Amino acid sequence: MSAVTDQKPSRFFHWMQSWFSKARPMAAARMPADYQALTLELAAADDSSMSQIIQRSQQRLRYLLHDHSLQLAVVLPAASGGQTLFHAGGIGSDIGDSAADSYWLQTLTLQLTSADLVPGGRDHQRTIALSHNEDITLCQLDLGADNNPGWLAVLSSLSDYDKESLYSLTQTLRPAFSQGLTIYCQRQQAVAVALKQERSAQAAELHDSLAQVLGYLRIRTARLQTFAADSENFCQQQNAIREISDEIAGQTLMAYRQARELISASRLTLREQSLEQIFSHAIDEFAQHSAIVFQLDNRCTDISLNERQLTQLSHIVRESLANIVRHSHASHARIRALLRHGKLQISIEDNGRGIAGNQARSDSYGLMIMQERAATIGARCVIKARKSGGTVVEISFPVKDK
Amino acid sequence: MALLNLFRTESSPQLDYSMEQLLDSLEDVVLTVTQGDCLQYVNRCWETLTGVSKKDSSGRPLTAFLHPEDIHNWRMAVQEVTATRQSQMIWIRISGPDDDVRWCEMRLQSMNPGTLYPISATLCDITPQVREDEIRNASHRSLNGLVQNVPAMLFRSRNNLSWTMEYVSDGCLEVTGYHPEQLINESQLSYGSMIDAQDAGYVWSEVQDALRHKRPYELIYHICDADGKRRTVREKGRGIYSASGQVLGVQGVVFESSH
Repeated sequence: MSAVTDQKPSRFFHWMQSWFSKARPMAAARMPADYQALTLELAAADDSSMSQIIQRSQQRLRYLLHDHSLQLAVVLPAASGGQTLFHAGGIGSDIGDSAADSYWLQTLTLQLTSADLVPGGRDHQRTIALSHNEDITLCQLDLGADNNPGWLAVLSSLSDYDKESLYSLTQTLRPAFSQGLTIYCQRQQAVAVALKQERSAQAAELHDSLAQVLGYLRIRTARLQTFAADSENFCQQQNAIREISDEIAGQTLMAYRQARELISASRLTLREQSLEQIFSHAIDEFAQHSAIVFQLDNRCTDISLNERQLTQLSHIVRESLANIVRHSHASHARIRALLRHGKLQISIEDNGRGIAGNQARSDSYGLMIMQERAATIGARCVIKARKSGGTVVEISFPVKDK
Repeated sequence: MALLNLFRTESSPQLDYSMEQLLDSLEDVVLTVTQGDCLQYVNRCWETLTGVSKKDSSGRPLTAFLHPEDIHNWRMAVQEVTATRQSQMIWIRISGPDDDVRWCEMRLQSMNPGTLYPISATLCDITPQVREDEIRNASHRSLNGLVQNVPAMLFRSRNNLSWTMEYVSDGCLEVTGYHPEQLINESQLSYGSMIDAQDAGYVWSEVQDALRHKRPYELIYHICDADGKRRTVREKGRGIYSASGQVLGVQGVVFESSH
């Protein structure tokens, strides 16, 4: 770390303020109020706000250095191994000559991709002459041990005296940009990892559900084709053909239902962080659309569940409540969660007309999917008639106390 | 049990029943709690409420019988008794037989003025009332959901030229572009001011005619919505009358007409 990097932003700020108030009284009023705020802004930035932050910093530098054609850009290592360029372009109207902008950014990109430019130089700074009196000042940003360095790039046409001021200013900005962008890069990496995990989970779910059914359908349709092709024995095979075609119709319906489930699952963002929230949000959602009395009896306030368990439970609870609202003809429904012998036991019951009445409906696929969902988190899901009338869905699985 | 002995010893010689008999005859639970929230005494009603015998309950913490979500309320009430030295009233759920939940109104207080414990409490089973409230709330919630989701503006207004709205449903936003609260009691504007000037007279006379004959009316007219756009609307309504036939107001529904 250089001496300038070790400089505390606040101390440096006071020094800069006093320096500017003597040299350029107007400039002092426009100095950044707090470099820590800049660090935080960069750490929390997204693609759009990053351009805005760069634009603000660019305007600040333009003002302080009296160079209204000065341009600022940030180059960060990309996850793919390349580099991502952020600049003020596209934000505001004072972008200047677009051809020139493009030229300097192209030159910058070329320079950064060439093997000649290696980290180092005077206080991690170097200058690339561009044309006439224009040049690009590059200030290396340290983005942590896990990342290649980034660059703060300034296109300017300054006198030698003002170049020293630019040098000082970029050294001041460097720790704020380095720290903020280190966190930004870590966040981007975490998002990339989460996306990858989510895609793997979706692929696994596709494999376990839709792909299985489609695989089975492929075998059965091939068999049906064989029967149909055998025209001599077509009449004798009629029963077998009917059986297979019925089965195919049923399985196709199930595949369709599973596809719809997967689509809705990918749309449903998990807002709930706990079992209590799953229950209360689901009840709030379904209670709005029915006159059923919903009761919640949650006696598991100290249960720790991971996101996968919460996601599947949320789907099962919602599906159960949807079935109650759509089919049960119930006046009362109750969700109860108990902890017994190290097992979480959730029951969702209603006093409606019972499962027997609509068991043969296509919704039985919904019940099957609920059971499959439960199985993915090691839970057991039983759907049965309630002793005193109605239906009860019971989910149980082993859990750890908090 | 020392407390029961106390009851026995203090029973009045002219009464032919003990204090325990008296407490056991009550339809409300009477209990006492000592340090550590442990049950010291419970009357017979406690057995009916919880399904646990008096003997098995003695010495067990009261919190073991409370619904986990209500333990915090109990502790807060005890703190309140400590702070104020006054009786406190809370609603709590007690685990009944077969994991059934019973809603109870609990009143608790210190038995001695100088110390918090022992605490005496009465529990009144209010489950039927709570269930009735739940049914009423569900009914109200359902009706409210229905009214607010109908793609039309349901209204009740006064019979004046401004058509001052006493109530308008959320469909108001879809039909007029204004939020219900902007219209109710003319807080920002009146419904009358939204009606096209050319149609205002026709609307007034048609409604008055219907009110005179105590029949429903149906009108098509134009309004100017929040964006200044002219919309054609259809209104169906009728008067609200007192027993003596006096017009109290107008109620109905306004929806955008496709014509």
